[in-house]
Amino acid sequence: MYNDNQILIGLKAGNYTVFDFLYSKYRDKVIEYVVKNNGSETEAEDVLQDSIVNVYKRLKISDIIIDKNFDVYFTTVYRNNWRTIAKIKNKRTFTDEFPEDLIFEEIDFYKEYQYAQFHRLTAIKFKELKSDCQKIIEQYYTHKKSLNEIAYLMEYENVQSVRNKKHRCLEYLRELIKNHTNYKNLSYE
Amino acid sequence: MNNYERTELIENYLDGELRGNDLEKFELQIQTDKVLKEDLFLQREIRKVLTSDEFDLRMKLIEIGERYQAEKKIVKKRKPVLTYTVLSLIVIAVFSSVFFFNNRLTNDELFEKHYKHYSSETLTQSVEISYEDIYINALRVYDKNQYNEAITMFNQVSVSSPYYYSKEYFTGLSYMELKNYNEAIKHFKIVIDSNESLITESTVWYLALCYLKTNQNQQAINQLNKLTSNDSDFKVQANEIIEEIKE
Repeated sequence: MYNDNQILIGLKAGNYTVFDFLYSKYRDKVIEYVVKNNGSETEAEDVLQDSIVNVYKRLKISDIIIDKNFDVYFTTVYRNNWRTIAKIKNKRTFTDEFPEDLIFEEIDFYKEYQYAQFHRLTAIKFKELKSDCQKIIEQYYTHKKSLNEIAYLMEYENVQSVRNKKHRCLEYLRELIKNHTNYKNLSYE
Repeated sequence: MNNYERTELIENYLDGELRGNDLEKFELQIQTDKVLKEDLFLQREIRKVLTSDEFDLRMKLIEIGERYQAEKKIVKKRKPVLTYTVLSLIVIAVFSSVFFFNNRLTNDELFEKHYKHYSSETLTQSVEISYEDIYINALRVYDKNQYNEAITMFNQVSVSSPYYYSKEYFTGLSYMELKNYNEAIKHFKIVIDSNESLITESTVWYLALCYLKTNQNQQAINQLNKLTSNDSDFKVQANEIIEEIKE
């Protein structure tokens, strides 16, 4: 159990246990809300993940001032998220009353939605890569290691071998994303 | 230009390694080559994702989501079995109280009465095999009652795996089937201490039965007390055992 302050600190720090706590606390609530409002369980999972990411991103920019408590705040976040997606998908049949003034920020919803979709798709496809591919891509792009360092860390014969492998892995990842229905539907460009 | 050559060329461009004529040629090429232009866009976007803070968070959330889906399936499929078990136990309890009133059961008798083999069959049928082959295969071996082999396979599931606490749970159950209750206790305690699993309530139940079987009555009561709340699936059984032990 975490209090509101611990949740915010844990989220900002990227604490796995806090993410897990939020997931277990809100999973059923989000599913209930989304399904009740014309969505599916899969869409509800996406809404929950996007809502946690949204709060995390806000916290990275500045501290969040919560009026009542985290539960009320987070409920507003995930409901707004689903309203956004439902609007995009023209699923406007809402069964609950949700005052417009609770939407706390005007954003380019559609762009934000596509951005989240693409992030999720990339992460899912990345997980499908073999572990050596995941490692080489992570080392190069996420941890910004040089090809020399990667050759040493992963015991490759030389830099050229690392370069070739990196290109092969990236090519594979790109094709996985490109050929996925969600990407085709995104009209991301 | 094949896929690999295109990837390499774009990577060299994005890494700033194209110079002079090569750079000019590339910039002209993207004006006319639609596939190259699309792939350049996509590779650039992939880079943005991979280098963002959000990527690590997304990976964690996907991992948590997959674990919850897998564990939820265990709980969901077990519920009807539990309901029937609980109803049967109520009937047995009423029957016993009429005919055998004041006839106190020993710990071994209580254990035999309450312990039911836990099948993972539903899980092995529903989880996608491609994700965690070692764990899934271990569950199959467990379902064939080959507990020693299952334990060896469960041990191969790493701490970083999303199935780590689930495999500890099944390792405990395997030891119970092998009547090695002290070893089972160690594994159940790992699951409970983690507080990260959806199967905590079941784990508490089996841990309590292990304590009962090894005559650690106070420890058994401590665990059973956790199951006496209204929303526990084990409420009736837990209260019954507590009453029996305290007598």
